[in-house]
Amino acid sequence: MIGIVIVSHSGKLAEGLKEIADVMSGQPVPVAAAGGVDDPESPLGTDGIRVLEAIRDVMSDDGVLVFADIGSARLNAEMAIDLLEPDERENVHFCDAPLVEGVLAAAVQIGAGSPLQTVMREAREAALQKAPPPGEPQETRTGGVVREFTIRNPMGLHARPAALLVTTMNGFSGDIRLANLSKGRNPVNAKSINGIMLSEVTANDRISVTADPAEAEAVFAAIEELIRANFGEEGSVASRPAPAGVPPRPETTSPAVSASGALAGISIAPGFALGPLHHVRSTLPEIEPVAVTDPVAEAERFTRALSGAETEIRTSLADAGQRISAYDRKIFDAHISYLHDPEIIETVKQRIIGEHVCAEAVWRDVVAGLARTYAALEDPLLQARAGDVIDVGQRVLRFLTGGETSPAAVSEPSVLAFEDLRPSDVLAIDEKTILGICTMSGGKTSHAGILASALSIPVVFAVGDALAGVAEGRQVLLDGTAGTIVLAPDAETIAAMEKDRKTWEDRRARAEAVRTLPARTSDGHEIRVAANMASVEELGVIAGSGAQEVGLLRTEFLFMHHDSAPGEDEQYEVYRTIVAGLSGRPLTVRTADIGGDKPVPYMDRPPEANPNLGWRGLRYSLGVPEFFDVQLAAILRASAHGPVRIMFPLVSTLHEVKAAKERLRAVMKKLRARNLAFDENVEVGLMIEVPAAAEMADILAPEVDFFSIGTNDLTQYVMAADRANAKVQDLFDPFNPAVLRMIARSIEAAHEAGIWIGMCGAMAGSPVAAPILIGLGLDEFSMTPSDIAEFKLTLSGLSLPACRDLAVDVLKLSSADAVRDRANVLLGR
Amino acid sequence: MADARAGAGTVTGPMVRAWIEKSAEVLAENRKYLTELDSPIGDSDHGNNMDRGYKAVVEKLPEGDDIGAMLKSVAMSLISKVGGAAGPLYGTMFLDGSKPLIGKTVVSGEELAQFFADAINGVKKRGRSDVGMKTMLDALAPASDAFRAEFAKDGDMPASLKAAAAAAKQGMEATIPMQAQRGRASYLGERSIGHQDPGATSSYLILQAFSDAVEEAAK
Ligand SMILES: Nc1ncnc2c1ncn2[C@@H]1O[C@H](COP(=O)(O)OP(=O)(O)O)[C@@H](O)[C@H]1O
Ligand SMILES: [Mg+2]
Repeated sequence: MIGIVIVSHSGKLAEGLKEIADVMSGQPVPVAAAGGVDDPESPLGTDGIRVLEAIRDVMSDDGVLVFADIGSARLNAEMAIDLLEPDERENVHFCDAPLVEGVLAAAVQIGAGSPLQTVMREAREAALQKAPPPGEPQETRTGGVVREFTIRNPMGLHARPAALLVTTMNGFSGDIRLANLSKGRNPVNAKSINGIMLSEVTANDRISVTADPAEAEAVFAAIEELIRANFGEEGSVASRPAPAGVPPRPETTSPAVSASGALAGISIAPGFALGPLHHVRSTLPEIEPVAVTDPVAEAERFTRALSGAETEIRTSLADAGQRISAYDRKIFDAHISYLHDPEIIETVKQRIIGEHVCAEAVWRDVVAGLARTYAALEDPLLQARAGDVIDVGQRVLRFLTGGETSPAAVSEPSVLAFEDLRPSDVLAIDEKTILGICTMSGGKTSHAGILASALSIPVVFAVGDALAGVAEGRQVLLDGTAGTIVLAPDAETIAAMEKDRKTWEDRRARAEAVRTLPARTSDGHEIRVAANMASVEELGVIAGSGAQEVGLLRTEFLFMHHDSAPGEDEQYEVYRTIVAGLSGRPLTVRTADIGGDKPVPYMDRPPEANPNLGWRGLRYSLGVPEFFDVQLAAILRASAHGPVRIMFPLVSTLHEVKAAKERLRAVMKKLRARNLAFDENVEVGLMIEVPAAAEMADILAPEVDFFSIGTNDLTQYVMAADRANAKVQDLFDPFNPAVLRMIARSIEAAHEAGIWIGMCGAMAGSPVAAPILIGLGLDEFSMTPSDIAEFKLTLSGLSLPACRDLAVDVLKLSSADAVRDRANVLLGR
Repeated sequence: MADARAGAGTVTGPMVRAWIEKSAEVLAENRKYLTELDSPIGDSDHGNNMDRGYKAVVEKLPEGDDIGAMLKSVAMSLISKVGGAAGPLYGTMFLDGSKPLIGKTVVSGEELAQFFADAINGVKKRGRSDVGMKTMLDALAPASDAFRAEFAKDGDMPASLKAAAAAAKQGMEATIPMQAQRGRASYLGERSIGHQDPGATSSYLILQAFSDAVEEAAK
């Protein structure tokens, strides 16, 4: 049996850890504790000779794994391995894993009879236990048989029960996947202790297990037996009644989704598609570490793969030609920069040389770790980077392993299913043979999301893990507009879809026709349509969207993606690039709205119990003038190159507006002194998103050139409903008359003072809100670029007097639903 | 005379023994000093570690004039008794350096130069470190270079070791403005700047002891 040696500065820790490992492994695994030094005065430290002896104590032909805590423990562990005779050393490895988690994971795996490489991998990945598992390599498995179970033992699948399950599953030869349905987790390898523990299966959770048809019955029987035996635990929990309204699921063999069910996700690009589903593997493959004899040559091979990947990116960019905009190209420039990241390259090389393992295994490991780190972050923009990392990682892997080329090639027109779409997948999409795209996860703001929104085929993201269970080749109906995928469309659904598709295509053609025209009602009332923007990459999409200006540039991306605050020149470069890309269309730059909910590592902020009511937006900027001044200076300098407006977020009082303008004047003065050009008449505005600002709009208006209503925050504050709390989502609705009255009051105050007013929240792009807001007199509508064509089309069917009447009416209604119903009547919906 | 080659340009077994014993004395004397150096940028144990290690070294030092055997024994004692990072690092240094010297009772300047080179490579390999990272290597590497250069001139062993010790001292002082990139001190990032590295200091003390021991023997 494989032996384990624990090297720790503390003898007590090593002994204690050995004790837990003995209990968890199920059967006696040889574990030796080698901690501390022989000095009663100061017993903390490590003794290389003691480690050497410990290795010999647990040595067998199956090998030994040595684990260490920090610094000298690791050095002494490696020292001791070097001190072994060459023939002893062969099967002894230092395992670079977190000491406690690593040793426990290894003990369980050894107890389950796993081979050395698996034990090492599981131990190393134990470090990632706390991160959520989205990056976990799961192949999209089709053809397996699925069954659902409810786990009833009190502990759930943790510790010993998890180990027991892994041990049992290791008795089967085929692949077995387990997904925690109750917690919506990705399927994991049921033979992986980390996978199981990461799935966080607790008592009463439902799991689905997928197994090879040949042994599925036996696998399911074994699991049933474990459940019946309570996984060796005392007692079980009473089955909890399903929450009201949710029918309990039948406990029989069933596909992961109901036969005729539909999966719901988020709409990225509209349209309909009907065709066979083709799964595209978009995660990193498993790679067994293979020992190499010449690690230096291996490191060189790695370097060559990096440059090969870079050449390939450059070539495919050249081939893509006009298909992607100059700004979208930046995404791939970022990919190239990953290939030059010294930190990553060094780590990989050092590990190749230090561990004598093949480059692909190390690279896979490093990339997977990096992707997981990104995916575990809270900021969705940063999370989205995980996809880019995996994308680059795969490309390099192809060079290292000589694997297949583009994964998105299909033999017949198909709907592609990805776990997560990567930017290069979008590049590789041939819109003639690919009918549509759907993914298990991913967000609108990911690079791939931005690129995919410009495709002419339907794209739906984030339909969930159930997609993995849909059989390869199954006919599905993808509705990009509704953001759903219908799994087993019957003739009726298909006919309805064909009809819808016809209507939709007509409507889209009509919308496309008005996309670049001025935004006018049928009776000639003109308003301004603008785009919201949150990163430079979106310029390409915005340029062709029909927006006549950018009504909101969120600048948070500048600060979130850095290790330190970007300097004036760096920020200026970004703003200037955007101004240039807009070729004369105005750009509204909102100064940073960074709050306690989006931690920025270099901003030393106190923790806040209630970040939404805390030190964010203009409040933060005014509190940290050195930060604010740099941003103001950079925005001002960009105003020398084209029309720019400055907008302050989260204003609550007149005093704040005055203070902000005061800073602006001071910065202007400094720029003049530095002889730097800027627009002396730059427009200055503020966001109406705090009820206090809406209430006091008449007092604030004389201070600025414009207002812009942020409906998301305004709704959240007026209704006192957290937009991130699913339980209060029915309150979080901007159609509430209370919110509309605030909006009406703000518009009135703006016009009274002779300034214009826009809206840059999600409501601005809503066709249902359009007649109300037109009627209230809103001047500028700033929305997601993909909403623009449809918005203009809706507008062209409205008349101003009808909208005004509607506006008067809805302010007197008593609920959001009533408002919506009334607007829909006017819209003929 | 024990060996026909013994002379002004060589180091003999008794000299090596004297060096090891002197090192132990010097490290005991400087125990507090080394620990003080290890407190702002480490864990205040380097003096204690080295003293404990060298005490064991002297205790276990084998009889006889086999230089390789003595140095290997130094290595094993340090690996076992130092406790901190310096244990495996100095251990590897003496172990790798001693290998070509097993069975030799006299070593030439060339052999000693090779000893230094092997020893330093051992530290680099074990510590995944190099010169400039604020470690013992910053004292050891310049000392090795100075030894080789000085010995090439006229083969004067005491003078060459003196040059080595002087270079080690300079190298040790040069660690003050460096930012640590290895060991515990590296956890401090920029705050490690402005402190002398304890490991470089013990390396200097050991080399100075070598120079002093050989000089005394040559008298
Ligand atoms: N990776 C390394 N390579 C070379 N020298 C190192 C390395 N890590 C630590 N050192 C040296 O070891 C010294 C610290 O030794 P010591 O205090 O005994 O170990 P610890 O840091 O474990 O307490 C440092 O001053 C430095 O010179
Ligand atoms: Mg120390």
